[in-house]
Amino acid sequence: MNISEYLSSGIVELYAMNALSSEEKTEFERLLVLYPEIEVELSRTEKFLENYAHIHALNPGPGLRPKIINSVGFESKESKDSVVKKQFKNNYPQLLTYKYMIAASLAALVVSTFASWFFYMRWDESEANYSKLLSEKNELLQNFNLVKSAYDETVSGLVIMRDENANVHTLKPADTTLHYQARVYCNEQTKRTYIDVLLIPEPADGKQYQLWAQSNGKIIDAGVFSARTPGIQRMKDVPGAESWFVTIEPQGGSFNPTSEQKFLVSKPNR
Amino acid sequence: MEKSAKTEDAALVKMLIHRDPESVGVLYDRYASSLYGVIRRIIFNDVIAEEILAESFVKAIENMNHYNPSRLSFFTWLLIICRNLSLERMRKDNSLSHSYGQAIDQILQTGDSMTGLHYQRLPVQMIDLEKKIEVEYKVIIDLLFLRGLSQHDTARKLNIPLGTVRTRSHAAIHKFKAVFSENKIEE
Repeated sequence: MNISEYLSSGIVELYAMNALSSEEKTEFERLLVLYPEIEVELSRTEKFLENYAHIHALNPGPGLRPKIINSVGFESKESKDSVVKKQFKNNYPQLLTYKYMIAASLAALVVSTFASWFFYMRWDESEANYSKLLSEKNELLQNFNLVKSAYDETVSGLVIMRDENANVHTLKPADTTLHYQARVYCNEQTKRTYIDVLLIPEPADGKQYQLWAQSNGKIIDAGVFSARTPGIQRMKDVPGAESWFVTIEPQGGSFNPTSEQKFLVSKPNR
Repeated sequence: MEKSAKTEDAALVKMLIHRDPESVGVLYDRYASSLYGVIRRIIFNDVIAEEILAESFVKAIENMNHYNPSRLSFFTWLLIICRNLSLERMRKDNSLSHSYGQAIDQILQTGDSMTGLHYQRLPVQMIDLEKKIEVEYKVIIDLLFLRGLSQHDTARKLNIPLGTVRTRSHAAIHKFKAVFSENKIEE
């Protein structure tokens, strides 16, 4: 994929302004993970947009700040405890006018009721904190797993691309104004074949892309592949070929290419 | 400078997740007026705009666990929440939709982002800047970013193809960045 063309197409700016459709966003986020240059450009653009928004800032009325703080309602621990203490002070002073024993035991009852209420509040709060921490941890774990599988995929992709014994074939459309591209890696000894989709549009509903190899006039089926998978996809084993091409077939593929039209072709090697 | 803003945001997000009672005030002081500037350019009514700002804060804080810092910055995330709530509210009300539509039509002519607002507190820097940037650039960033107009509606209003909306946005931001750094607006 031509990264500098992509970066000057305006797609980064539209993403930062949240003007892309959800499919376009997903596609962008997929490429964001693969190309660090996009992340750099995105940061710069966001920083500019933030400054632009700050320049256009307007002050709301002064009463809004306390109103919003109230609406959100984060209470401090001190305010909760003192409210509880006050309630008890107000409800029970008359108990102290009874006979001493009854007064003493009732006072003890009050104290222990208060104590259990007090500890209940603390327990409740720490339960809430605990479940928050738990969900935070789960989210972190999920994020970690996502990152790890993206990393693993990248590493295995690198291994394939670095194979000295693999031939690399670049596949492009016959019409050179289109920027679609895919690369095929084929190791003639192990016959392992892979395709790396660099830029390809989604096929129509019910259709799928299929890779074919051509060798000594014979056409070999290398299997179907997806336009959406971010990493390198393993194809059927091929013992080596002079040229490769991609056609659009019905979902699931065909035994032989059904259309005359080759969507992508490779340049002949020899 | 970039790094410290990001670490400040990360610290604030943490405080908000932990329901620190100081955190809402910090959030307000840092971002409320920038967010209000966006809301007020969609909702042409002070009272309702303030309600929307309050709703946005509550919504953002409730959804703090869903904020993903690896994609967009904290401010952008907040801005999107405010803009979406504003657009939703605007569409439900006839007079709000009307004033929004009128503002859009006026912006198409003049590129003036103060359209429809009676505030005169335009900072001096902005007045200078306004003169240095082409109208078509001001218009496109105002529509897409401040007013939340979709890329398709923008294309239709400006009578240009979608590809041009994108390349013009890129050129506009490029120009704005150049003018900003010339005038040392970036921090």
